[in-house]
Amino acid sequence: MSSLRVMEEKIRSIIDKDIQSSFGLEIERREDPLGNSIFLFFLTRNKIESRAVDALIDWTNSWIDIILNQRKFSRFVDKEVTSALLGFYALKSVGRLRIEVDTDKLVGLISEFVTDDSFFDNFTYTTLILFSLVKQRSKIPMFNRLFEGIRRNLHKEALFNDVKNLIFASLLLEAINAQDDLKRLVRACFEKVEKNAVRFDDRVYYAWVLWYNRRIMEERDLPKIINFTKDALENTARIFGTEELDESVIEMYGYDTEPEKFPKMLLGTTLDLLISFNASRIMLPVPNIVYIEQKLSSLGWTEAWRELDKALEGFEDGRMSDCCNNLRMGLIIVWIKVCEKLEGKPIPTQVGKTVDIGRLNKCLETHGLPEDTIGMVSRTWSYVSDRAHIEKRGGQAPSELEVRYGIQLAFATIEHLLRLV
Amino acid sequence: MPTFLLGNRIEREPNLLFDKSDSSAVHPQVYWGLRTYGPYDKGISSVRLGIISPQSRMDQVKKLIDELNKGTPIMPGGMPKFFGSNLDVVVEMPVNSTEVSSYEDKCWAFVKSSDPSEVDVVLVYIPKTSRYFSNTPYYRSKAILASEGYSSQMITDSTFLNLKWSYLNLASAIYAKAGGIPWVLESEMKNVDILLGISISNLVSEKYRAGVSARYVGYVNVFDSYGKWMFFEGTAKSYEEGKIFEQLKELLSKAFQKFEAEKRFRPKNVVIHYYKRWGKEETDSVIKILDELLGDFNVGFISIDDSHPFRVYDTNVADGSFPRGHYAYLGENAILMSTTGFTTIAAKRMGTPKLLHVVSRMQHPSKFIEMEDLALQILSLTKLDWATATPLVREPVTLLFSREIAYLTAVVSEQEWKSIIRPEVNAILSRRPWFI
Repeated sequence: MSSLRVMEEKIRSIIDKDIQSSFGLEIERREDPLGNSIFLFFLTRNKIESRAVDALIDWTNSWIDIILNQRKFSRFVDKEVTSALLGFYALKSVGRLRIEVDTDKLVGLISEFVTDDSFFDNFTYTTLILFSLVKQRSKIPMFNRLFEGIRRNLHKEALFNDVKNLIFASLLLEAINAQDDLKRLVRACFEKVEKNAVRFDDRVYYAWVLWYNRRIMEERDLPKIINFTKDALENTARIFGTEELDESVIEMYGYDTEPEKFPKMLLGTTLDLLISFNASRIMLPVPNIVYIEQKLSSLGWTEAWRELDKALEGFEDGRMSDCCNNLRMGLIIVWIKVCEKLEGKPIPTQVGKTVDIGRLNKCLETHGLPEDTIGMVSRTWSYVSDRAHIEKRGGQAPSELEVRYGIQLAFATIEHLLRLV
Repeated sequence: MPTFLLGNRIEREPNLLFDKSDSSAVHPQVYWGLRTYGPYDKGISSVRLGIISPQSRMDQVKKLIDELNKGTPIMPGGMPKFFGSNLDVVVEMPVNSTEVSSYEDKCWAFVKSSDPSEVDVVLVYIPKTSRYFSNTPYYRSKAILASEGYSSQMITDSTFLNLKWSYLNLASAIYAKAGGIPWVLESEMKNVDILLGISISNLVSEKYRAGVSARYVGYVNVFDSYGKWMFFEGTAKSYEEGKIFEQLKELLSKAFQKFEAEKRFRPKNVVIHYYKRWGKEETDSVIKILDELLGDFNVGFISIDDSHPFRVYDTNVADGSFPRGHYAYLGENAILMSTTGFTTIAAKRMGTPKLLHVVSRMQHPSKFIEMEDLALQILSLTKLDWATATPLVREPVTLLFSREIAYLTAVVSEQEWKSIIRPEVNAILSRRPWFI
């Protein structure tokens, strides 16, 4: 995993350099506004901050004003409008939008670029525009018609031919909550992976779709998705590294005069996936973490997952007692919910007071759990609770080693409890 | 007495774009661009091939297709990586002998049993012959297949002798002939809306023509401001000598009509490349026709040829060649430009560069394109021959494509030409560079 951490840093640095190289070069910015918006989308989505990102945010704000408000287009109006809208979405999502854009005028603007069932007669742009405006869709009369156009193309081979469309299409389907279409798309990606029908250069895009949508896949598919994602990311290192070349290639076609140039979509997608995948690195030694996430989601016990997720975040950040507190909360929520489900009635709780553990133990006993197993559940609860209360430890935070053990215990216990219902 | 010429140079190699919806997919070199980004148009996932080949070579041809799909050390990832598509063989038709008549019979049998909407390109294995002979399997197969709406790609023994370097050129030509767009210029050419590579008064083959008087045809290749080849238009029937106005009117009317329908705007800045010298009758005719067709327009008449005795060297360059993109002014409206001299985009060069003599014969109603912009335009257009990934191409694609068709018109019959131009065939072929 450490190599993926290194790669994450390397790609951040490539993106930073790429953005900085265009500082002050207005023309270049104008030539590739969509590339800039794609960078911005992935960077803000991951809350990445840097001087380069600040500069990109400033530029995007003025770009939105120029394109969406002032309508100063060149002949590249398709790229300009699409990039401004994606930038608009990205900035709005993180509260960095400083430009007022009138929705009615915006609808009027985009209406001018509708041809048949798409914007600019381009699938990629249509997907991106619809995704960017998904929150305003009730005010866009042609939204549903254009979305239907996208849906009709979802299962055509051409969609898979231009892999960046897989990312945008899955983002749109998720944003619009079109779960059936999303499942079909993700399943189609998975089938291609299973058949080894994914080209080397396309793997990271497929991995992105599968990784981010792993929750809607079958439990038995998850190990394969995790392995495929890991392999895809490790192999992508070869794309960003130095390639060994047949000397005669250089003799015939010349040296690659721009060896450091990579598609912005590839950089953005890879970074996004690396960040998500690397952040889950402590999950991976716990075999069924993905099962837990999926099961909690299907049961609707999202508050429990939120606590567990925060626990892992706390561990990542070195906040060890916070991590234990979130583990404790996650465990108790699951324990209570499992007992309620087993008994078919609510477990009495009082606000501000810890639930009666004896009552929970009794429930498990009633439903046939062996005494020693119940003891393990109880002791795990005590273990993480003790380490959450640093005041009882003289203000001493638990060590990383202790907390790592606590994570393993808590997740194993939660998995066991979940399998009872 | 020494004569001094002023010179100039194009500072930066023009960039190419390799993805129509990702403006960051740019590279100045075709090979590295395709290898990194794939093709400009990523909408074609499968190219359906027909094969016409001697039975003894059929396996060799199929092996070649298999290797194109799987990739080679020079083309890692093969067609799927470089062109986002697979080659799928849908029809095989063995030829009994390498005689011209066998190929003619087999091509006719092929077109009668197939449907052009189900075959994208026909791969024809032919014996190597000189392109200056007309009655060869190459020209007869090409003409018959084109007259029925099929794009074809010829392969010969020499393709296999030099297979390592043939793969990519072959793949690119097949992909383009199937209707794919492999790459275009990253930036628009300055002050150009429409670019025409025109050829008029091309003699139709006498051998295949009935009657006694010489007959001529004209055609035009239309490119947009990114140098993207858009379509081909030819005169519907042959003309007698001296009917230039009619030929031009027919060609230009068709070209502008189609351009406007596709681009949704009427072009204003028109640049016409011609590989001959522009005559007064020709320029006057074009202006008169554009007056009728466009009303408000600028037109530039450019002739480009290499039939001159000049050679230029640069002693500051390691190999002494006049570097690519450098040019010398022969006058206010004429330059000698090097397109194959020293450059960082290619390692291998062949001999002393044969310079292009570019003359801006006339700009009407006034000058709207500077000689320096014209030089950049022509250098850019040398990068758009979809039949090759070689970094150094001497001529702009406007001339290359015209020349390819000129070879064909010299050998096709009037009847075949009429078939190629007829609406139902034109609808398929006019958007595919079937002649490259």
